[in-house]
Amino acid sequence: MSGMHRDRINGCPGQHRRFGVQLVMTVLFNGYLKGFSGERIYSGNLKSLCVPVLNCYACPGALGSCPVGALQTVIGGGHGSGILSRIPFYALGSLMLFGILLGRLVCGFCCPFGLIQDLLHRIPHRKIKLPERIDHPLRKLKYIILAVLVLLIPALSLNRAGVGVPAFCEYLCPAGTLEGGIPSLLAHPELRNLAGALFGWKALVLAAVVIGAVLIPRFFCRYLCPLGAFYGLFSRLSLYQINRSEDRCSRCGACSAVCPMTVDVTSFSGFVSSPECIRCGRCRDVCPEGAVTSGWLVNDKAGGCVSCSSSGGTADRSERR
Amino acid sequence: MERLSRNKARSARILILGLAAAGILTGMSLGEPDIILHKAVILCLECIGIG
Repeated sequence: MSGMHRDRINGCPGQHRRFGVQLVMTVLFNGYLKGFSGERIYSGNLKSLCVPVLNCYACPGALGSCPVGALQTVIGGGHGSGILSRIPFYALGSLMLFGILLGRLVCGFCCPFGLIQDLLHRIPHRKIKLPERIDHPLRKLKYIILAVLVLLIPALSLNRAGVGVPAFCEYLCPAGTLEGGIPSLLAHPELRNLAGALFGWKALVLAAVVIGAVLIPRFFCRYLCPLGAFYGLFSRLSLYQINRSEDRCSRCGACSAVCPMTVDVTSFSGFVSSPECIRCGRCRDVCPEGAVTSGWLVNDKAGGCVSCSSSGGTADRSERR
Repeated sequence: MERLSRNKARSARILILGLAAAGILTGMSLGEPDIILHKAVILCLECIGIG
């Protein structure tokens, strides 16, 4: 049943629109084309702005700053004396603003690495569904990564330059390797001699995440992304919400079947406030009863894609769209 | 009960928005965007795995 729903949802206009937005956002955040031709990376003032997504500022095309990198930079210190200089007021404030306005809508619609995972998952291959006893504890890992690699280690460690180690960027971030490392090594041959064991490790991490994304939808978002972990904290309060109507729902389970984050949508009455929900709208688009809607708090838009609905769909649904 | 919960949620949103704005303004006054800019315009060798 889930395979049938997945096939239908992939052809849905709502998901085509989402793909379009993801593409536009990827180009928007990485639009400095000169950087890909071997010139210097972008060094304009836009880079003082934190983008809402995981987007390495070492990417040749990056126009803004990765918020996770920004957090580690400020926490790592070396920019002034006193504790105040190591508290990331600006980066944290920016993230809180994105979190309360958008929540994990950022993950579903804006993140270039999310787009890459969505595309990887489309590769025809047997898919894996991890049992709950493994999946549920593993979901906590991203919070540990946020706390330890992004916050604690930069605060408590010192590298040779006398600043805190940006542990997430240096040892884990596959977006940095894919968007920054590989294009930089391609564009600047002189850097290739410097790539050693650390690059080998990061390439291995990237390979594991790529394979994981082929097998499991949004593998990195589920288990490893510290930014998704942070935005998930705002899921109950963010202004963009997915909403399920208990009255209209027939409990067919189609919504839960197509959810890339395996959220049990039918267990929510009202807002789907799971910290795992990335607001991709697949549940809304597949619902044959129009029971799942999405939108900003002041304006709920009815969902329910007529072309994805069962044959028992009503004319009302197409009018609401 | 639902109205009270909605009021609480609205209050929480306003509080977080206020904290976010305060954080951004505080960070700007402390020169944090310049720190981020300085890091972001230099090729981050740790980020790309060179170290």
